[in-house]
Amino acid sequence: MRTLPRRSWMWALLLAAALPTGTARADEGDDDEDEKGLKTSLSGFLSSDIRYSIPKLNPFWCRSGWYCHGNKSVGDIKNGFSRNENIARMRFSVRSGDYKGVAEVDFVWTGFSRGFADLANLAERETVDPFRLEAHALYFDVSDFITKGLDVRIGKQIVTWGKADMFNPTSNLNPLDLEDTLLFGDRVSNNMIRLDYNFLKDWLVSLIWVPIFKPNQLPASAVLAVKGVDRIPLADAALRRRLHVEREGGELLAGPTRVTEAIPELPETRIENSQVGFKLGGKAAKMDFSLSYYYGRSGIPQPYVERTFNVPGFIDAKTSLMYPRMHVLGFDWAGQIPMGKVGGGNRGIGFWLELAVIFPQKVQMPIFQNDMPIIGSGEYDYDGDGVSGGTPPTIVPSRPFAKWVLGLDYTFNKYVFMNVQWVHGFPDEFGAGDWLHRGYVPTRGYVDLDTNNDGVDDLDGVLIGCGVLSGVGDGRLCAKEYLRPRLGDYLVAGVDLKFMSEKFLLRLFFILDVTGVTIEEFVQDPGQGDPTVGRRRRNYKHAFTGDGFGMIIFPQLTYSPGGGVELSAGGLFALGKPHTKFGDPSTGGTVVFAKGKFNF
Amino acid sequence: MRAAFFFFTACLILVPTSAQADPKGDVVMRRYDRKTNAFKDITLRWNLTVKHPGRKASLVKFKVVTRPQGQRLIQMQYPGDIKGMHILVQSADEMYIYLPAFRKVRRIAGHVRNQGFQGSGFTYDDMAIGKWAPYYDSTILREDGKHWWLDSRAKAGKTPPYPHVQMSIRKDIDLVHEIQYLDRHGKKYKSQLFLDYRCRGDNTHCNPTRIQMIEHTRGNLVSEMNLRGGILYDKGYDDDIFTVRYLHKSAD
Repeated sequence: MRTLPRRSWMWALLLAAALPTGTARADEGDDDEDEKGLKTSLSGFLSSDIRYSIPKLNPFWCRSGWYCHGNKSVGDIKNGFSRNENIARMRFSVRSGDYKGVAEVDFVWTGFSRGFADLANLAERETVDPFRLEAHALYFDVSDFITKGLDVRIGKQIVTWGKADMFNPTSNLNPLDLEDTLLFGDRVSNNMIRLDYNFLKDWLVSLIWVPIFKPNQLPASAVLAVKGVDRIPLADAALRRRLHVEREGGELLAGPTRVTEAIPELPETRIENSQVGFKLGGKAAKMDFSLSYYYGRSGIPQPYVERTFNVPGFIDAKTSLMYPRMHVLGFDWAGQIPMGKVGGGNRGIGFWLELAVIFPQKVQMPIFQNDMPIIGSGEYDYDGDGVSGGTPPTIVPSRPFAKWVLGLDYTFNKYVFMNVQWVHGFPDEFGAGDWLHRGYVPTRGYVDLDTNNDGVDDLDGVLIGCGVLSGVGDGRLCAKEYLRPRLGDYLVAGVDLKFMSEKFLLRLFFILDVTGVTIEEFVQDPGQGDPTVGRRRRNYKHAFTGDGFGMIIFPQLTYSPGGGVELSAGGLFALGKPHTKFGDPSTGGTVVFAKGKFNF
Repeated sequence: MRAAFFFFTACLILVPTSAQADPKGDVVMRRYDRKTNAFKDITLRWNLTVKHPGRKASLVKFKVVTRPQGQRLIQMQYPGDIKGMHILVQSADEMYIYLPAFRKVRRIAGHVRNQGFQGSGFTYDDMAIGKWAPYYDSTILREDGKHWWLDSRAKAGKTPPYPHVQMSIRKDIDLVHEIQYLDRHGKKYKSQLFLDYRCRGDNTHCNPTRIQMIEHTRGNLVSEMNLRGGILYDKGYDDDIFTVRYLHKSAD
């Protein structure tokens, strides 16, 4: 939770005091008569948002009091109020001829008192009633700078590229703001310099420089993700399996592996770590196109060093995370598919395609061990040749990959609107691996001693049967993994039902993960008495099986009585087993909410 | 027999065609187009109210800048949930919308354009119609001392938003008084009234200060636009402001 330094608070007060002077002029927005004078406007909203989190409301989770796997207790996630927030958003703009400045700031009161260390905390307002500031825009721009058609904008701003809805793989200049799962697709503003040149009537070229990289803002539930020590996305399957086995062997010898530190390391603030973007966009044949290029970093942190320590009671894993560099070539296209004359006019279906081809930096993760049972200290023996070291495992291969969104929307009549998208590659997915080029990451990995799947262990324990005591775990024989491609496929659809002259809006939105899951394990050859004779087998479970199903359902009813007031209630239901995209506890699980908002 | 068949067929084809080619109707329509677009640019501010029986009327405020070439920039001003939304009409079938909540400009696809705007009887298409004569063949249905009544059908190969309308044109100012929108069976489903014209000092242009849209399929629900403030003429807006670039710049 960020606190507001006293100096900033004074600044905020000054800003707030200054704003009312603009309201009288800005009320009507009628500024034509004052073309060369100072024109101001004020807008924003006041909102109140209360949410109750019920993550256990997931019929796909185990009923036993524990998750189906891992060391994660259901007790880690509790039902309860997850948000009790009030926001005052102020957007203030001032224009003088070709110059314009904009400040858009959220004053957020979080509604939960912080933990008190002592009685003195009760005398601190920021502890009893915490608050924070979020600036979405603090910039100024100049139109027709130096030459006609050239605009420059400098300051903290959000630049959104791409034609798709919410999922924009070509838009990488601003980090994602995933703090509020209901505001999916929101972004964090960043300092940048943007030049736009309108060289032809409908054609625009943009050049953007972002000096300092900012990472994605993650939801509070994301900390649960680091508990999944079986989910390290090693590209080398053999090594990955071996680690599953050695981890469970280590648990018997020294205790469970716990990640006590996962520290994202930001790139140094040097010129070579700044980001640049270039975009050429325009219109032809009544369709909109753009081509873009981005050089910078992925906002998704990747592990790049792991250090493990044998401490009393458990194995302490400390992971360092980095933000890999990437080049992104983007293309988008939007238009409409003609439907002929339906009651006059051309009632075409809207469509869009957004494609990003990403060239990532290769990320490798050396593993260093300290006082580990049997294998001692030093760099991990990756190739199992008895000598420590070797080629560190790859976390992100350098192979290029593509993410895309293909979408359609259509208004059936004045009551019903529908929007459907095929999303290939969720925003948090990074690296090559999909149905075009195979490449998997584990969503669950553990030791399975039952090689003929009769419910009885066939191997002689993890330590002996799986070779842990020999120093090299036999992952081929003992590891069972739930795998999914690095890039999944999702059907995203929303239906709006408007009634009572648009006073009521019922929005039903869902995301279906159609990727499925592949379960890989060693299976004993039939008729063989030896449980170690067999082969590894993959069993694909599609999206409509219990193991492969994962879905978000997001119904919301909004009542707009007029005057800018909106009252809404709904829920975001996350369904699926813990190894699926949306059943994973780190997504935050199911939440119900009620919101009130006054826009002005 | 065969000659009689050809004659009969020719009558079927030719008679309606010749009925549509009514020079007087087209002349009246062209005169209306010319008169209603007799400015370099015009800026109007409107209050749009929709009064549902037994409910509080809803109010929307917006500003429109129009050029005779058919370009239009609409800036929503009230209520707060749509304030900052901008709609750009580049031509009858090319429209863009800036959505402040998403900080994005989106093309308005055809399927949206015939939908009521903010619960009113006015549609995005209504905002896009600048000229009628290029899209319609018009015939004089009747006339009296004050009005011509035109029956206007879409020209072959043209797909205006309304395939069949009837409108009355005032003889004193060559401007429209009423438009009736007809469905494919010729049944009137909405009517639009242009009332209380205010003319420019030199009388070269007049603009209604009140426009009513009556939806007969919704129990004669009335949506009414009332002009707010004065009419601003010829502020010198050029092509630049009717571009997506400007939409971003002015709205963002």
